Amino acid sequence: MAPRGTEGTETGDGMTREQWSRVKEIFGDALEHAPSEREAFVRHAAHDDPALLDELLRLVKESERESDLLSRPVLTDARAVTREETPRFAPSAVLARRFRIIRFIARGGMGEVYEAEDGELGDRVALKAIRQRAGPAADLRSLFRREIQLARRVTHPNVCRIFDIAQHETGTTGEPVLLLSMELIEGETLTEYLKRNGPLTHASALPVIEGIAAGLQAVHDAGIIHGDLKPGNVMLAVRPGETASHARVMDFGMAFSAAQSGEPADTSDREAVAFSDSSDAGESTVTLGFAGQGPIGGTPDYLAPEQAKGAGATAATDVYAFALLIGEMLGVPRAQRLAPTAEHMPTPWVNILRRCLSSDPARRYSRPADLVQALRSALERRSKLRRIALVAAASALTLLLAARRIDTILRSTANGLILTESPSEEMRRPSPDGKYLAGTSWDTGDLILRDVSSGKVRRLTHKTTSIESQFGGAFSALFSPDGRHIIFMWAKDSDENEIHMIGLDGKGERTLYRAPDGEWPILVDCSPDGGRILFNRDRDEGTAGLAILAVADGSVQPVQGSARQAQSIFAADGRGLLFDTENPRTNAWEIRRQLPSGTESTLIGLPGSNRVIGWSPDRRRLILFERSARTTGNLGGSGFRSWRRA
Amino acid sequence: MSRPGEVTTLLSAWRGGDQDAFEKLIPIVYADLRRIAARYMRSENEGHTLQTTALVHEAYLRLTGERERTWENRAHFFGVAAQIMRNLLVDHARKAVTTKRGGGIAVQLDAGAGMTEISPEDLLALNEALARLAEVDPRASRIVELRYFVGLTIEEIAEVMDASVRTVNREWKTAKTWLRAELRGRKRAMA
Repeated sequence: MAPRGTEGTETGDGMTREQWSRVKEIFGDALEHAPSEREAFVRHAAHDDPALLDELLRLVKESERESDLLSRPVLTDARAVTREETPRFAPSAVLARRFRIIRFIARGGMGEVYEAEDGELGDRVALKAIRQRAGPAADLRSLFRREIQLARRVTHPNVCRIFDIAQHETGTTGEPVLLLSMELIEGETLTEYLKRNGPLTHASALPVIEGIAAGLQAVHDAGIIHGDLKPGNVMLAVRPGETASHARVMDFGMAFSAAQSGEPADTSDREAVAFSDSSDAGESTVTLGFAGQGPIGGTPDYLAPEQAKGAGATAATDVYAFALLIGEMLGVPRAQRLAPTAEHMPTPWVNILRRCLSSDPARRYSRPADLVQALRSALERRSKLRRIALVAAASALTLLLAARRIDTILRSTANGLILTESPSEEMRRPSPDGKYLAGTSWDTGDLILRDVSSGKVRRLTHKTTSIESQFGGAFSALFSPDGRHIIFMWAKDSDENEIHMIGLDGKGERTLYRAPDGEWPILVDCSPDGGRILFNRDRDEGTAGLAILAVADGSVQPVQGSARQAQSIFAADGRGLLFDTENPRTNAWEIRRQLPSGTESTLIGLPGSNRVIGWSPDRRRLILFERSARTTGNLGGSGFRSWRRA
Repeated sequence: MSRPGEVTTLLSAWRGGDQDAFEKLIPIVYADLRRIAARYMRSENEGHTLQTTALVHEAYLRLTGERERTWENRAHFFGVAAQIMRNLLVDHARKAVTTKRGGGIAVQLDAGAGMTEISPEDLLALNEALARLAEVDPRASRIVELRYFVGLTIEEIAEVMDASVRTVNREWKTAKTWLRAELRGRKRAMA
């Protein structure tokens, strides 16, 4: 290569782009060969260029050496830093004469997981090191061989591949360490994801559920029962644009091999080995046992009733755990997870999941694929219902009847009715006559108007860049009560936010309000005369509070009193605000009215929970979300009600 | 998120010569960056695009004190994040080396929580080698920055740079090997 200093230093000096690109190309190819073949490969590829060959040989030699440099990011994750226990194996340690540890990844119930280089495969793997504590057999490998043979057969995009099993002898203690090598997946577990981002909406959870179902089905099809399905055993390779898309099931088959439909397995089947994690003195230990003999396998929270009794696990056992996992993803609190309600998921899903949580395995769906199909078709039925609701939106009464079934009407948007969930646009508000919906295009960020009957979409604003390459756009659109204008929040690329008003024909756009730095005005409601706009001053510091903007002069008055921090909307006659609040004496949620003078009065004081959803388009009926002991039926004690004003 | 103002205070203390401030600063900045990065990666087509924008801006303002700045795209943001991390660490390493040579107390770069083992000398040498690499292959140098200084995964880098995982992985491995060889050569020359 270029002129070199003595002893091969400073090689980079004087290297041209062309020379480097050849180095990169040939060396990149060489890396795809086994380490032992690389030298021959580069000698052949660069035989006519001695300088190039020199450089390539230098790199090949380097690739054979041990080096910590750049082996992991300069700063390790804070989680690894605060961990009290140090990992058992340090980087560069070689286990079973084959796996060179690169870094410690995580500690789980069964042992520690490392990133390692597999000398035989010449590739990086995830290596699970399981310490045996007084195991029943000297040679762990023979016990696991059958499991591994089954597991290795599963190659599916939603399944983490299992490669091999090995045993590392530790000289001093004599306790062998069992090593499982598997595919290294960059990403995080579903547990970590949920901890960081909170629960998923059912729409964003569905692709993950579908991925898990496909993976689990592939595992079952190979004759393996997972036996320990839980969020910690699902890896997510998350890509932008997809909330949490590529789910991969891992650690399967380590608990049980498939017994035939709950029948006691014959002896050869019972050779399957199971782990059980038991905690004593805060230390996570692993014991080994035989399937069908006593309480084994699984994680307590996710244990199916038949598992807890020590009976054989079947595909239905995994389906049970899967239903629990879905509940956890959707934010169902632990205590309610065996009997989820429509509070956390679309109503039709409640019964589907409850069926899977039945203590009788025979009542559950027998295949993960069937479960996911049921979830999917329930949503399809529902979206048909939703379309019907849209067409009928002009009639307040009809809307209301439909609303009893449309449980996606979200409180959080007060009177914003979410009526479609198209992937490329977010549609929120219906026009007063029910003919249009206004929303944000997620392709461009523009304000869009959808004609409900024809389905045609019109872009009202015209950003010049896509929402991906540049931020900003129109958000939280509201129709003026006369249906002739749309008021929306306009976030500019420069991080300035404004409230705009525009005609339905896309003309006459004007700025009503410029928000101070750091404030995200979220529009809540428009007064019946169209003169005032109620909005939430969402700020970075979390000091949100409602304020009222006068359309005529752009002046802003903060809302005072109890309504300020509540879920409020304008009263039907525009005088004061309606909001829901909890009565500390009765614990009931009441609907109250706060007049401009500050005087409060209770409008609805029924026992139970009454939360404001919004007005029907003609403002004659107030839609409430009610939960009380009296209400029973499919909604699991909750439902939408209307209250007709006198 | 770290407390507002905390980073600014630490930054000025560090610039004023307080090495302890640096040790405190880096994990905070890094945790912030990682969190922002993670949210940023996942934000598209999601309702919280706006909040993410705010976060990114906030972090940037904290790190630089610059008030007016807009991101051209994701790659731009991560590019700047990587530069910030790289500059912070290299500045620190320079100070550490100078202190040592001046007979003062040596400051170990790995003393702070979360630092991996790299000596200030190696970090400076890496920085120089990376600059040489950037002359012939800016893209490879960028990949190294994102991987090493920001801690993005190969998959994340592929997304940011709009390239395939395979390509990025290949370029990363090649650049890493070359950098290792460079540093090894330098050590041998000095020995």
